[in-house]
Amino acid sequence: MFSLKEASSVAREPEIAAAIEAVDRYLLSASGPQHFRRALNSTNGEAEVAAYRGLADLGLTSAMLPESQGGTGFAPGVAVLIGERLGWSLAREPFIENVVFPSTLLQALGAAASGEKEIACVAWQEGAFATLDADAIRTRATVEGAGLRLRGAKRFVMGARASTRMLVLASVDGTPAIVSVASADAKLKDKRLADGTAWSDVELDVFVEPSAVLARGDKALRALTHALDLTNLAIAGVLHGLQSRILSMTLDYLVTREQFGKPLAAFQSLQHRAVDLYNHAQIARFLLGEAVDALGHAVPALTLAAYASRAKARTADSAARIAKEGIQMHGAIGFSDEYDLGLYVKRVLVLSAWLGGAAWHRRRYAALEPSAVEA
Amino acid sequence: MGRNTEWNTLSDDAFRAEVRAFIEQNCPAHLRNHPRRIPRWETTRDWYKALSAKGWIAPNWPAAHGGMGLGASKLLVFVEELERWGVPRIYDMGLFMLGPILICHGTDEQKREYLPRIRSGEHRWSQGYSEPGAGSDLASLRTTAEPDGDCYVINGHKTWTTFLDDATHMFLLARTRKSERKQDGISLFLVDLDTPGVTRRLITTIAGHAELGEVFFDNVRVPAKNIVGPPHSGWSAAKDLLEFERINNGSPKLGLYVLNRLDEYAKEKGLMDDRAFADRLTALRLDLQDQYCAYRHFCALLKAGRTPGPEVSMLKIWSTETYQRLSELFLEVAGEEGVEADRQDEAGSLAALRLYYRSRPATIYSGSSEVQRNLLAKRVLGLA
Repeated sequence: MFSLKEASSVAREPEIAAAIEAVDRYLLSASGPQHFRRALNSTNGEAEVAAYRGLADLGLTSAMLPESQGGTGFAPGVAVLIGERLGWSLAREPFIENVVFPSTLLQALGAAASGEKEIACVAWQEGAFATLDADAIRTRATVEGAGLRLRGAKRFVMGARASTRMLVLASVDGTPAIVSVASADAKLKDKRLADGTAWSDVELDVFVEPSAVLARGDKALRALTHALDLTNLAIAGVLHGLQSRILSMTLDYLVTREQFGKPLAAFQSLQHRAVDLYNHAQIARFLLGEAVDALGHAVPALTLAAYASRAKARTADSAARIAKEGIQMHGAIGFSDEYDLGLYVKRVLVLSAWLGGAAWHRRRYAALEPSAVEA
Repeated sequence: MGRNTEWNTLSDDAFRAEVRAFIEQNCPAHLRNHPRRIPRWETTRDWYKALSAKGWIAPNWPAAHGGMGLGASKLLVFVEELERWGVPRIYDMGLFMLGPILICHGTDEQKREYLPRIRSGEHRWSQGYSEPGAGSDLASLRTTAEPDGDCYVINGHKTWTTFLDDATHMFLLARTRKSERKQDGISLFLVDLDTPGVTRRLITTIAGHAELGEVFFDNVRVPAKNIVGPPHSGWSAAKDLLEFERINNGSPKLGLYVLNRLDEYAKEKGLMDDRAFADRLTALRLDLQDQYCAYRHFCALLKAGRTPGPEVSMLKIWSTETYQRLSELFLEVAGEEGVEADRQDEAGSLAALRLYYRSRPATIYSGSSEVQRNLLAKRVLGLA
């Protein structure tokens, strides 16, 4: 009813369908509310590293890399399909932050993959919202000796705790650049998030070789924009998985829970509200299915940007609706920590806010000149 | 290759250019942005015939039946160009509703008799579903058809009929057998409205147009061969028909037309500098853009020979409610100018009031939003 499988022809390709099934099989034993709660007690990134290893065993950490680099060579849209399964299973596997985001950035830069031993993340934001403004970069590199000294601070760095390498947006000689930094050289300050996971504020005062500057100028900004768009699409996939699960739990609850001598599902006002949630989830589903298929081959940057902002705006909006109505329709139990619904709801809050929420992405879409990107 | 299939081989852009050029040459300026939701037949006849002569009158029918056989993406290009120009609504009940049902359930004789005459405009169809006591609860209908020789004799009262003013025919539901389940024993009839015993009365809407009507049937004799599908099981054909109608109502054309006019108006008045307005407009633009994806999904199901199923109700709800929100925003930002009644008859860009009126019935006809939500709740979500 909610799966992207019937809404996307890429999802039905045998190789991809098999990969998604393998993900589902793995998540059945490796994820879910109990695992999620247990992992919240881990404070040093060990749980994230273990989960990353799980992804690697599945072949997912190289799934998005081209075959020439030893990857599976999946089309970018497949990350949306994998994301959906992660969301549905409440997985905390760091697929988005340590796989999709850094590997799409490295690929767009034409740089080599970070290697099997490395776990990468992207440190680019210095303030809230996903605005990429070259003039506002305060993390700067200056020449010192044979190398560069990089100083500055980054915020909201998802996946930093597990990472061994950071791809840092910095200003080098007054032009924006992506600089590769060993995570061990950076100072992390973890920030606990609404859903109990964490990202990090990163303080940088490090020396790097000149070769650590992977790209400069427009090339760096274009690559980062490309990676942000694909990452937001993958997040939209996770949000769809989460909202589908919340709605599914809520429908089950309506059918089971009895009040006033009949199931809640018999009350027309609740039926109609549930239908509205279903409609929003379906609109998101058909949009994502179409985006996955469109990303089966290379698309112009403007088309990708439009799909990314549409997908993030739509899913952030629909997931927020479904999350709050899910709580309301459950009643008091939905507000209790012991019940699992809240775990999904809080995950929605965090992933909706990260890299731009619904309102931000709607404005970005409007700025793309809608006449040029009509569906 | 026949001329009826060659459009599917053009690129979308080439097809768009051809459609645009044809519309500009054949749809006269005085028909653009017509003030009536449904202009009279004499007003749109020449445009209808121009489309027919070009072979473009039935874009959604298969080529074998004289349609264009367009796939979903070309169909959307076609619709976008029509709405960009602001073409008037033509007598489309036979094209969008009856045609697909006859192609699916009709006898060869019915197809031969009716399909070409729908395409030419000789037959103009109306739909006889609602009755005074059977609106949202359609299956409670009381119009009867009793067999008499090789005919059925119809008695009853249909109402809220669109296109009645210039319709020549009506497809209607009548009870041919009493049965326990009210959906059973209903048949779908094709009726010539010139048959003795038929009288009609027009009903004026709040927009001031006599575009609806009611029809009284007093011992109207209809040949038995005019039943579509097996007798007594018209409900299933009618339900298919409603699903087609829901896809048709799910076409972005409704909202797209308002969005185009609102974009023009906003530009003219400099409204885009108002951040709050721009945000609301973008949200609605995206509701419409994302509706395209759902529309394409259901069109693809049809194209693959599958019926859309009860899920298609979500498309009708989304489409018509987005249509209304767009028209409501338009009326709101038009301010005092929006409620000057005579402005609704201007062909210019200030169309707020008439679009407000025009979008009202969309959530009522073809199964109200409430009926659609009941259907989804029970048949898709399993809530009862």
